[in-house]
Amino acid sequence: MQSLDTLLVDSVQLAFGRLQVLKSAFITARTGRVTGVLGRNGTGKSCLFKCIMGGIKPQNLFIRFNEEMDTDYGHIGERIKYLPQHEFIPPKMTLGEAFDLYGVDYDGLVTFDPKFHTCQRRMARELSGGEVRVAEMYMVLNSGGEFCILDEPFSNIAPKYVEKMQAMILEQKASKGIIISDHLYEQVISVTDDLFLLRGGYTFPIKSRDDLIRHGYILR
Amino acid sequence: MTLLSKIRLSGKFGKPVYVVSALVTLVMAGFTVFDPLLLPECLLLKLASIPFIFYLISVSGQRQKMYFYLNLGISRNEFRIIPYAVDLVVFIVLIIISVMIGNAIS
Repeated sequence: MQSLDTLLVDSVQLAFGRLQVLKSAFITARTGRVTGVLGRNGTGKSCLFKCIMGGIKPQNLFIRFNEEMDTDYGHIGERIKYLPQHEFIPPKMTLGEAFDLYGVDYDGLVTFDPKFHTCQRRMARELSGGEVRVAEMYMVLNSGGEFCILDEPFSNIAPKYVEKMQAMILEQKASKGIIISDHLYEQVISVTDDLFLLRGGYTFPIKSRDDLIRHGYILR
Repeated sequence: MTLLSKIRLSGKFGKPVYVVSALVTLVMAGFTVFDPLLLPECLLLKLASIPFIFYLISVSGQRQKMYFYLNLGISRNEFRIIPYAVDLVVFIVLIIISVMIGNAIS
């Protein structure tokens, strides 16, 4: 039987000098559910994810998996896989190497899109930004780990891939908890089970479209 | 991920550090072969080069690929420290060998 994992991230405070980006942000995720995080530019969505992954050191952060009393913050990447906004496969690394390191079968990507059948030995810098993005997203979604954070996964990729990735997210959520953030909010909403909005350094649960209008995220 | 596999992986993410540091190490080793008495100065120069290399690497866009390795279970501190630690060990071993060669020659 598939175990149900929960991730709780709470009391995240992050400031750069006098600029307080996150005042008391929180987010929860669970196996079998997709959690969406919306917010205007500069509200700290990416910062929140980077704090979770340990890339940025916040002033305060609380992370808990299930009921575990102590969490190994330093090696959180073993449990949470993160797709950052920017391309993150090293430019001189081949796609095949990257997939091997992540323990993901490259043939799966070829099945996902046959155009990748000639790319296994090509370096990331030899591919287009969109191709690398698709490969990275496939790799992150299919690698091990109990949770997966996708930061703007639908940006800069063709609509065809957006639909295919949405389908893959829904398929993968059976075995992991997924957190997703993107400005293409319609596409995000269509795959999420729980939705949060980051505003003014705080997280607000969103229940309906009216909540998004009330918080000034969308006009109508 | 074991420490050994992290060190092995540092060959990928620490490549720029290893390349620049290897140059410094080779120059220092060369000095000590010809004059073993220069050992303290070489050690000091090597230590002084670390912040300089750290700065060079940090402005060369290494941060972008950090998350690739964080996802593999490497911590941010390990990502930063392992290449320098490995390089320092290699430097010490090489410098000892070169001092011994220098002493044997003189």
